[in-house]
Amino acid sequence: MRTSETNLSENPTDKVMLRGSSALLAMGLLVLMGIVTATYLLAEKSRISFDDVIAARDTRTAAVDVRNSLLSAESSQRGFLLNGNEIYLSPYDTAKSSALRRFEKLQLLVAGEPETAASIDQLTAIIGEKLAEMDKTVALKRQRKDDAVAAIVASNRGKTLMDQANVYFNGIILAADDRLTARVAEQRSYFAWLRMITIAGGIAIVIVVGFAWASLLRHTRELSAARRNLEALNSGLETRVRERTADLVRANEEVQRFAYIVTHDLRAPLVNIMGFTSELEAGVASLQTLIEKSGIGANASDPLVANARVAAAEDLPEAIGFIRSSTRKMDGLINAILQLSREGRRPLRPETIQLASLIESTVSSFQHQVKEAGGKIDVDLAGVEIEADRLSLEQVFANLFDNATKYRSPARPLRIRVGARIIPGGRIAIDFEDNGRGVAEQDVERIFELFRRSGLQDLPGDGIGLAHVRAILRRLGGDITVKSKLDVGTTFRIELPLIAASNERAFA
Amino acid sequence: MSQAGKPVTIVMIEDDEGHARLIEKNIRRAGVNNDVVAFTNGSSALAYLLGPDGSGDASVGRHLLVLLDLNLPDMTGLDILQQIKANQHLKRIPVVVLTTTDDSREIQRCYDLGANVYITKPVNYEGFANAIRQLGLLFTVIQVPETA
Repeated sequence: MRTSETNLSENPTDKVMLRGSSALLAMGLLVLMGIVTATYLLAEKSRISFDDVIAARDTRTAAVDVRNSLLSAESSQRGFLLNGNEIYLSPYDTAKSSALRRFEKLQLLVAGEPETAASIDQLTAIIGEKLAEMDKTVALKRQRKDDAVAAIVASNRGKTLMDQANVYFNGIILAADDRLTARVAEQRSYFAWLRMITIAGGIAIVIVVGFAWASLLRHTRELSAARRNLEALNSGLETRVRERTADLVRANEEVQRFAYIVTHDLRAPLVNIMGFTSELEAGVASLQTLIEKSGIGANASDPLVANARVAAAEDLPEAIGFIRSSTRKMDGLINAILQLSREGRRPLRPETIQLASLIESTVSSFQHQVKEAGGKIDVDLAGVEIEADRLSLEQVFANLFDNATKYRSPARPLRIRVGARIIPGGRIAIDFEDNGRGVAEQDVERIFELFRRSGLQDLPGDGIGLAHVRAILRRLGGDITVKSKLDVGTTFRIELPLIAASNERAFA
Repeated sequence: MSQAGKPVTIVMIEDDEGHARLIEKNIRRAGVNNDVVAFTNGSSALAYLLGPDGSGDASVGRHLLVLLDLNLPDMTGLDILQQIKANQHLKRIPVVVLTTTDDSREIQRCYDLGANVYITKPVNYEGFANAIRQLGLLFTVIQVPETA
C-alpha cells in the first residue's frame, strides 16, 4: 500500500478545530483577566472609600469629643462660679487639657481637608477665647471678686462663644456625616458592579466552556468517523487485493488455456501439411523412379516433356524441401509454446535443495563439452540451501549452462563462475558469470523474449531458452536480470525467495 | 478384419478432412481393406449409428468399429461415446478414441465411459503415421462382435 498522503495535522478540519480552540481559549482568558482586573480595581476603590469612611468617622468622633470636653469644662466652671466650692472645679483642668489635646487631634485629622480648614481656624480662635474667658472668671471667683464675675457672665460672652463653637462643631459633624453617607453609597455601587461583573463573567465562562466542549465533542466525533472510514478503507483494500489477485490468477489460467488450445488447434492443420507433404514426396519419388527407369524424354526435344523432367527431378523436391523445413520450424515454435504452457500448468513441489549439489548434477552433463573446449566451471555455493521446485531450478541452470557453452568466445577458454549470497527480504541472489561472446547493450532485454535471439546467428536455436528461464523464475517468485559486455562476458543474476511462497505466483 | 465372413465397417468420426484422409491412407498401408465411412461432425455420425428413429435399430446386424475424435465442431466426442455405450444395440461396438488431448483426466473419463482404446495423436507427422499404421495392424487382428 502506498503511504497515505493525508497527514492528520494537515487535515483542514483539524486546522479549523485548532484555530477555533485557540480563539475560545484566548477569549476565556480575556474574560477571566477582565473579571480579575475589575474585581481588583473595585476592591481597591472600595478600600479607599472605606479608609475615607474611617477618616470621616474619626473626624466626627474627634469633633464630638472636643465639644464634650469643652462642655464638661464649662459646666465645671459654672458650678464653681455658682457656689465657689472648689469641688466643682476639680474636673475643670482635666476637661480643659483634654479639650486642647482632642482639638489638636481633630486638627491633624482634618489637615487634608481644605473646606474644614476655615472652620478649624475659626474654632481655634473661639476655643482660645472661650478658654481665656473661663480661666478669667475662675481666677476672679477665687479672688472673691463676685461682681466682676457677674459682669462677665452678664455680658453673655461665654454663651455666645460656646454657641459659635457649636455651630462650627455641627458643621464639621454634618460634613463628616455627609461624607459617610456618600461613601456608603459609593460602596454599595461598587458591590453592585462587582456582582454584575461576576455574573457576566460566569455567563461568559459558561459560554466559552460550552463552545470548547461542543467543539471538542465534534472533533472527537470527526476523529472516530475518520478512523471508521480508515478501517473500512483498509478492509476494502484487502478485498480489492484479493479480487485483483483472483482476477490475475483467472487471467493467467485463461492465457494458459489459450496457449494450450492454440497450440493444439495450430497443430492439426500442420499435421495435415506435413502428412500430405510426405504423400507428395512419396508421389514425386515414384514419379522420379518412373522417369529414370523408363528414360522418357531423356533427350527429348519437346519442351513440355523436358519441363516435366526438370519439375520432377528438381522443382518438386525443392518445393517439398522448403515446405518441410518451414513446417519443421513451425512445429518447433508450436512445441515451444506448448512446453511453456505445460510448464506453467505443472504443479510446483517445493523442497529443500542444496544448491551446490543441484548445480553439480546439472554441470555433469556439460562437463565433457566444457573440458573439450579447455574450459573450467567454478561453483562456489557451499552450504547454500533454498526451498524451491527442483525440476524448475534444474531447467533454469541447464539452460544457462547450455547457453554459456554454446555461445562461448572462440578467442579464450570458457570460464563459468556460479556464486550466491543472501540479500535482504529473505531472498538469495545467484550470479552466473561467463566470459563468452556477450550480448550487445541494445539486445539485453530482447534475449528474454520468446523466439528472439541476438548476436551472430551462427548456431541453431529457437529463441526459447531464456524466455523459458524467466517464466520459470517468475513463477517461483523470483526473476532474472542480465549484465553483459560484448566480447567480454555475461553475468546473469537470479533472485529467488529462500522459502517458497505458500501460494505460487500467478505469473508463469 | 471380419466376423463370420461379414466385413467390418470402420466408422471414422473426424472433423479434419485432411486428418481423416491421412488416417485412411495409413491404415490402408497396414493392410486394412475394410470400408471406411467418414463423418466430419457428430450429428451425422450419430444419425448413421442410431438411425432416423434414434433407437439404434438401424445398426442391428452390422459389424462396426468406431474411430472417434474428441474435438468436433457440433459436440464433443465424449457425448458420442456416451450415447454409443448407453445404447443397447451399439454398446458392444469397439470404440477407438483418437485425439490430440493427452490430459490424464480426459483419458480416464473416456475409459470410464466405456472407450476400448485411447490413442493420443502424436504431435509430429512421422509419429502420427506410425501410430495409425500400428492401429491398422491392430484392426487386422481384432475381433468385432455383431451388433445385436
